[in-house]
Amino acid sequence: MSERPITIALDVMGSDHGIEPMVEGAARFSLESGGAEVLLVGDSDAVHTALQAQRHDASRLAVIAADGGVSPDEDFRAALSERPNCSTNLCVALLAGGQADAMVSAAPTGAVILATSAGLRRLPGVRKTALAAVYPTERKHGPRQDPFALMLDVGATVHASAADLVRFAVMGSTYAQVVSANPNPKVALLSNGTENTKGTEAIVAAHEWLNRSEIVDFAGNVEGLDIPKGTVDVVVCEGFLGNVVLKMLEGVGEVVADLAKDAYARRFLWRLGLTMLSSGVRQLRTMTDWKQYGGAPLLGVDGVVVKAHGRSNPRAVSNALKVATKAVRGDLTGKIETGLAEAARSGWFDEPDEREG
Amino acid sequence: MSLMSVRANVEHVYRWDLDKTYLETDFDSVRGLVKTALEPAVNKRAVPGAKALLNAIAQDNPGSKIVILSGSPTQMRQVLEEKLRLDGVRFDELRLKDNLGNLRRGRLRAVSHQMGYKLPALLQGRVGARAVVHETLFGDDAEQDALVYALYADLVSGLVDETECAEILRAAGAYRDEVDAAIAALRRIDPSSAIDRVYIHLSRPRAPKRFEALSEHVIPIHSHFQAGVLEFARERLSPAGLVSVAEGVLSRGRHPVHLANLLQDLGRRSWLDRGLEARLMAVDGLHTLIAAFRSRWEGVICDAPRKQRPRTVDYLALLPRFERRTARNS
Repeated sequence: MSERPITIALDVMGSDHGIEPMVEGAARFSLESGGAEVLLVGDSDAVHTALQAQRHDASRLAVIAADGGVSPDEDFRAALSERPNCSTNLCVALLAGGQADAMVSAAPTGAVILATSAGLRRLPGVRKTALAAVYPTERKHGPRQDPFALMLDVGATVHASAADLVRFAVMGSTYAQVVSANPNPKVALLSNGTENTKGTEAIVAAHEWLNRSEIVDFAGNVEGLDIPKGTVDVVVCEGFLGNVVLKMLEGVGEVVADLAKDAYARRFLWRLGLTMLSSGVRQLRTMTDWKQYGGAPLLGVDGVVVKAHGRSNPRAVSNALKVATKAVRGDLTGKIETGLAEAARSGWFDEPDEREG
Repeated sequence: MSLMSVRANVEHVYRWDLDKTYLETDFDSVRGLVKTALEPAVNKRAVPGAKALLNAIAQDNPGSKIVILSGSPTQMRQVLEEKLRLDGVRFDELRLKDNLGNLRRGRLRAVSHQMGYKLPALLQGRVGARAVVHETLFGDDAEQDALVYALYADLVSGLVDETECAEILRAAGAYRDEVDAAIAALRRIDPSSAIDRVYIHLSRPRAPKRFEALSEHVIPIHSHFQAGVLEFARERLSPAGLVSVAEGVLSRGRHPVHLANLLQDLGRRSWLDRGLEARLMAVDGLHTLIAAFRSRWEGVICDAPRKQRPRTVDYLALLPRFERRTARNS
C-alpha cells in the first residue's frame, strides 16, 4: 500500500466559463502518473455529468457536493455569508480541517481572499497575505532555467506598508526556492527608479529595511522595463500596482497574438513571413501564455491556496493543480513559516525606528 | 462442437480478454509491440487486481468455466500459458488468433480487425449451452471488445437478428467465411438473456460516456476492484475474494482512498446501493475502509440496486466510433 496521496480541493464553480473546463482540467490531471487526488467541490450532478464525458482516472477524483459557488457577477461577500456550504467556503473548510492539503479556485479573487482569511489562520508574523503570480521573462531563472519570474502582491490587498513589503519579500523568496528550486533567488522592489530614494514612502522604507537583510538576497529596486527582461527572480510590490502590471502583461500578450493573426490574414508576404517564423512565434506564444503557468498562490495563510485565472481553460486548471501539488510536496507553508520565524527571531522584522531606538 | 463450447454441467462462463484486460500490454507503439512479443512470461505484468480477481472468481465459482479469448498470435501460446500458470490462474481454454495463417492467406484485414475473429468465436463457444448458463465477459477499451461483447449479448438474447449480424460483420471488415461461421453458430444457439454482464477495463482510459450508447450490460470500470465489488454485489464473489482483489490493487501503489473514490464512482453511476454498502461494511478486510470513507459516497448512494434495462443499439452507426484509434483520438 502506498502513502496517502496529496489531496487538493478544487473549487469547480466560479470560473467565467462554467464547470466544464475545471472538470476537464482535473480529469487530465488525474491521468498523469504520480498525480495527487482531487476533490471536485461543486454541484455534484453537474460535475458527474461533465466527468462522464472526460477521460479520467476515477480513483484519483472524488466529488464533494456544495451549495453552489460564487459566480463572477454576484456580490461575493453576500454569497459567502449566505451560503456557508458554497464551493469556495467548502474548499477552505476542507483545507482548514486537514481533509485537503491544498485548494485551487477560479472564483473571483475577492471571494478567495475573503473566504481564506475567514477560514484559515495567517502564519505568525504575516500582516497581510499576498497573491503571487509568475510571468514570462526574457532571462531565465534558477537551476532549471525557468523562463518566468515571480511577482507579488498582485491583488490580495490594495496597499502595503514597508513592513508588509518586507514580509512579501521573505514569502516570495521562499516560494521561488520551493517551487522553482532556486536556492538563492534575487528579490527586488518595483519602483519608479532604481535609486533607493525613489518610490512611495513605503517603498523607500522597505528598501532600507531589505538592504539590511541576511535572509533575502535583495537586489534593490527595479523599474517596469525590468519586469519582462527578468532582471530579478522575485518582484515585490503592493497589490494595486501588481494587479495593474499583471493585467497589462496579459493584455500585451493577447494583443501581440491578435496582431499576428491580423497580419497573417492581411497580406500574402506577411503570411509567408509568419509561416517561416512559425516555430519562433509558437515559442513566443507559449512563453507569454498565462495558461501555461497555472495559477497564483496566495502566500501567508496556513495552507496552500492557488488562485486560478477566472478564464482558465483545462490546461490552466491542470497546471494550477500541479503548482499546488508541488507546493505541498515542497512544504511551502512550513518553509514560509520557518523563514518568517527566523526573521522574527533575528530581530529583522522589528520596525526600523524601534530597532534604532 | 467448438473447443470453446460450454460443457453440460457448467453453471457460469467467464470470458476474459488478455491484453490490457488481464495483462498490462503496450501495443500502441512499435517498441511496445516488440517488447510484448519478446518478453518472457516472468516479466509480464497483470493489470492491478486482475490476477486476484480471476483467481477469486475461479475459486468462488467451482462450477464455472473460464475461457480466455485473445487477439494475441498463436505463437505466444507458450509464454501466455506460462504467465497464467505463474499467476496461479485456472483456465479451461485459451484461444488465440492465427495471425500467421491469416498473413499466409493474404487476409490482412483479419490480422488487424477484431470483430470477424471474436464474434464468431464467441458465438461458436455458446453453441450447446443451456439457457441457464450465464456469462460474464471481461474486455477493455483498446479495441472493439465493448462493441463485440454487447453485440454478442444482443445476438444471444435475440435482440439482433442474423441479417443484421451479417450486415454488421461485413461493415466491420469480416471475411465471408467469418460471417458464415458466425451465422451458422447463431442459428444453433437457444435465445436467452444469458450474457448478463460485460466489464470493460478503461485501459487508455476513455471517457465512460463513450459506452453509454451500448447495452446496459456494458459497464466501464476504472479498476478491477470495481468489477470485484459488482461481482460481490451479485454474490459471484466471496468477501475473501473481494478483499484479495482490493489487496491486489493496493499492492500496486494505491491507497485505500483510491478504493473509496472508485466506490464513489460506482455510486455516481448508480451501481452502489444501501444494501451493498451494508454488505461491504460487513466484510472483515473492508470494514475500516468503508467506515472511514463512507461520507465520500453518501450523496450518491442509491436506495435500491440498479436495474438493467434492455436498450436498442444501432451497431452499424456505432462501428466507426469503436474503430481502433490512438489514445489521442479517443
